[in-house]
Amino acid sequence: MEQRRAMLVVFAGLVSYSLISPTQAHAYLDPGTGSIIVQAIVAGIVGIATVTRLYWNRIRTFLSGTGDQSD
Amino acid sequence: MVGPRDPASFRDPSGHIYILDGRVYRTVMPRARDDYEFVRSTGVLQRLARDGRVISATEAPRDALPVAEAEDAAYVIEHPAVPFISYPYEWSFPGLKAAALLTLDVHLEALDHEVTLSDASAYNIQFIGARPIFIDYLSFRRYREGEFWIGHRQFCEQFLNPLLLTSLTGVPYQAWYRGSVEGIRPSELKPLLPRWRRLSWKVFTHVVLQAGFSRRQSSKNAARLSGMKLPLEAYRRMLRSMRRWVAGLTPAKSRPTIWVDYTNERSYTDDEVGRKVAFVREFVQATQPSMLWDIGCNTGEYSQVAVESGARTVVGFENDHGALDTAFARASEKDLPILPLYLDAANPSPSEGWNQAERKGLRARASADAILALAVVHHLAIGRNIPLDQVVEWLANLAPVGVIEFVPKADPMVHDMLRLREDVFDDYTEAVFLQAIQRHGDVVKSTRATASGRLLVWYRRR
Repeated sequence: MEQRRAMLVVFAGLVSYSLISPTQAHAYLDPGTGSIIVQAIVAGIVGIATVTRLYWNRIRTFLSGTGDQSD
Repeated sequence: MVGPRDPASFRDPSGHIYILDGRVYRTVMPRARDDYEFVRSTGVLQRLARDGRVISATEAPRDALPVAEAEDAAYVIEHPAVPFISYPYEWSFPGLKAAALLTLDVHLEALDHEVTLSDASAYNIQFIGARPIFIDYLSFRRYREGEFWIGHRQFCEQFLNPLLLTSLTGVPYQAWYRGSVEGIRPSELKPLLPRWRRLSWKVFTHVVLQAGFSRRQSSKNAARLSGMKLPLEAYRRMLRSMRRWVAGLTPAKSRPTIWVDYTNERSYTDDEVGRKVAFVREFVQATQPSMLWDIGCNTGEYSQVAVESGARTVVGFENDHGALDTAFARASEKDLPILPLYLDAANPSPSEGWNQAERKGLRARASADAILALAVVHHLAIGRNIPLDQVVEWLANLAPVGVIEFVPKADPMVHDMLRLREDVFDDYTEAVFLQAIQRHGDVVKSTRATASGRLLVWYRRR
């Protein structure tokens, strides 16, 4: 379950970059272009790393044939 | 706008701070009403206030604040006054770091309640003793799904980059921060970092990439960015990862410091130290100051004697970074009401920022009930060539009572200071020192502190 939840989160994260509805932040502060791009990149890379790790664990579990799902 | 409105309270139209007869009020304007009511309904601020991480607040009747803005305000709230307002460019490395960690912790806890922070200003933090406390109530507002960390850039400029500067290059950030007031930009820090440092993933993204992308500020970029969303889990991960990074930062070994081992290597005996401690103790017990300033506090040894003898709050000032960090650690570990700050007595914090009123200079900000100036006069009079009578006048003007130590030329410390230079200090004598004191006040008591002839004088201003 934990895996599924994490995957959903990551997937949502990766997809959301192309989404339409703009998030007009209620802020008196200008967040800055650089800051938003950096946050998108950090979130994206962390997302990809998590997906990779999850799949890698599945492949390992499959190959070792233990069927252990708890990772 | 004249009157009691705090001159630093102008950026966010959600509300403003007013100071009336020492009491602190905050207006909540109609535009911020929904957010304020939502945050209040979650109870998160009350919880954070209970363990001292966010300042407490009580709603006051609107007529408690007799200013025009209060009539239009949705709410008027009152906060307890902080004993001494300090600024990030006066904080020690561990102080700025503690303030950064508090900002992130408070933000993470708020997110658990669907509340977020609208900024990440270091000026949102104040210190009570060495404990940081978040004071900007209106920074909290409802979290909106998919929003980015709006304060990320500000967090980098006002917390992360100054800490990185000292941690990765050994250059103290205080002078730069004081000059810029708003911190250090990624594009300013980047060229100073050694190339191999820029290869670290975190430095690369938060400093190098951010510096690069900030340069291309096209409207096309802005339009494209406004459609993006950041999932809440990714937001939390970013805050947690930033927290781990900041928590691991320490000043580089190359950072200049002289005095850190002073208490172990000083030129006088335990018996002489005992005499000094006894004199300070007697002075503090007799005067019971609510606010004592320890000028040249070193590692905070005598600040601690002062609080143990009855001073309610001590603010220590020191310009050696190593000694200052040790003083902060002392206050922090023992949870003493001591706030050690970076200050060069020959060049105290000025009034600066917007309209030269936003950040107040030392004298415009507060005053002390008592001072300690132990082993500091010779650093100003001989180290900085300030005439002895002016040094005494400056000190005596800080507080109505105090203890000032005079270190004569015969003392090994002063002897060393004069070893490589011509002695142009004809007026640097005990007689001139005492005359200067008597011009401003009376000597209540004095004692010979060391065999080398150091003199401790307890003065009372007339």
